[in-house]
Amino acid sequence: MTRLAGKTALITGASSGIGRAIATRFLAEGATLLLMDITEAVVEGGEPTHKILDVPFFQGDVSNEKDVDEAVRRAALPTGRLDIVVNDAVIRIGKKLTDTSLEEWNRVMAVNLAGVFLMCRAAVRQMLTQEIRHEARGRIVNISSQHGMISSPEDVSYGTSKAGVVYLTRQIAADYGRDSIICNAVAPGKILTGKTGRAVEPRWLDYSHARTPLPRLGRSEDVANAALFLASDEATFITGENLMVDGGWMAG
Amino acid sequence: MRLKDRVAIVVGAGQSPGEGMGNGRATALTFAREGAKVLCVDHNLKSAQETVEMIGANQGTAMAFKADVTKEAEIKAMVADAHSRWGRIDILHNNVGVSLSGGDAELLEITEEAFDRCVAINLKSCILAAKHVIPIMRAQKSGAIINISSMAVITTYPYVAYKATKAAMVSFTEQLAYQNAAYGIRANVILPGLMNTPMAVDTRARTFKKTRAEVEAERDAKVPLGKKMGTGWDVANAALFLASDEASFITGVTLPVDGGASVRRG
Ligand SMILES: NC(=O)c1ccc[n+]([C@@H]2O[C@H](COP(=O)([O-])OP(=O)(O)OC[C@H]3O[C@@H](n4cnc5c(N)ncnc54)[C@H](O)[C@@H]3O)[C@@H](O)[C@H]2O)c1
Repeated sequence: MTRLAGKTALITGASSGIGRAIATRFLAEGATLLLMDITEAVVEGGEPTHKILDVPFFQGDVSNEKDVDEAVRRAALPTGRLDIVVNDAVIRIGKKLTDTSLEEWNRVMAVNLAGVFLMCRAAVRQMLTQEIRHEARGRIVNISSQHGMISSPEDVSYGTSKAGVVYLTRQIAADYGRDSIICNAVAPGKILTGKTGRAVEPRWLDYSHARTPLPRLGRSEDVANAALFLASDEATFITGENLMVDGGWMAG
Repeated sequence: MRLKDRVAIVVGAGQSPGEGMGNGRATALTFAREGAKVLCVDHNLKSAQETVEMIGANQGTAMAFKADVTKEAEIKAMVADAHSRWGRIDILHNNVGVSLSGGDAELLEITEEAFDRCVAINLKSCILAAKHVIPIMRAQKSGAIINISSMAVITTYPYVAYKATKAAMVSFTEQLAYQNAAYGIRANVILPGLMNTPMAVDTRARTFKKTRAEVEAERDAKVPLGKKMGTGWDVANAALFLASDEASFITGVTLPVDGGASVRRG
């Protein structure tokens, strides 16, 4: 379990769900971690992730420029490098176009899209100061979504923000490939994170089962495994891609 | 070990003459290193045997098998061999492919014979291999199929048979994924970009009467990521991920391994 040995990783949205699974997996593979989240409360319940994993935690808002810059600074402190950034933090409003207020739209864009922009910018600035190791100066893994490629049911702001993340990923890959900065996205399909509420309302679960060809829905670990692959030295010739982890949804 | 006790067939596990490591050989070596038993299939038995010897030298388990995968009877025999030898088939990796070396050419130059040959080698082979392996995987209620297509599907590419057959592989893989997901079978396709393999570099050097270094330099310059081609290991690592349980919720995807070349088109 040493696929990330010697690497420093900063993970946003790491308190809960998929971000929590990514933190757990990366730690098991030997990475040095800094977790960032707006809260240490775990959406699906239980002890705070950073306490269970016994790793540093930075409470901050990804839509806040100062918080993001500070997170990158702190992440790079122990080793002088930031090898991996995972952008996972997200909010969802769950409303159709005609029900969405401008404030709601702006907040979703601020966290889900501007948050990724701010973190990528801070991370790339840091990475450009680093030497190339194992063919990469640094790596970014953005958590996108199938929503944004297909419609997000009754959630216009979320789907739009995620489409933006996929585009941003490609643009960064193309602009900084020469500098050996690797930037990819992972697009989860329907993942059961243990969250309650809208995510597991019967109508959305039925819809997801009907659309997912594989016999089961996804687990947070499925996404964590894909993020691990893209964050590791095994993926040094893959950049700008959006890897679906969706049980075949997009193939159907 | 990420493929412990799995049985894999790697079709095209030898390689064209030239320097370095081809995608198929690198994949066979990687699967074996991670604990799989690997049937190394090639029409060039000697080259497949070289792959097996390299695996044996690392204490892995592998057998060479000679098959011309443009013939259904030989594909059937290949599947039967792996199945009777090791009792199951967990992974089918279709790496066979030709372009220039199969006589591929631009539209106005291509002959019917060369076109048919490329279709048989690139497309028919992967479809018929799936045809014979799927009943076994359905009975097992598990399996992973990986087809090696090409970045040529996304970007511009001058020779018609390669582009058309590789694009067809993507559509075929999606349908294969969709119709076999209920059986727990996954099918994904990798699009290698500009790779530093004997097939890609040495074949071009011979065809265009250039040095290997000249062909390398031209191809390196086209890759955004670090201005350098990829290697067979890059494809092998992606195949390992897709073949392993770590990708158990991933099916029907198209994964470019191209150093970002397809992100920037034209
Ligand atoms: N669960 C799914 O089915 C699914 C499907 C597709 C995509 N995704 C994507 O996966 C990622 C994780 O999803 P999840 O279901 O685990 O979500 P989640 O709601 O369980 O976790 C999101 C985390 O982000 C944190 N966060 C929210 N706003 C923040 C801010 N301003 N600054 C810092 N942290 C903030 C939250 O506190 C929470 O810990 C998201 O990017 C999501 O869009 C999930």
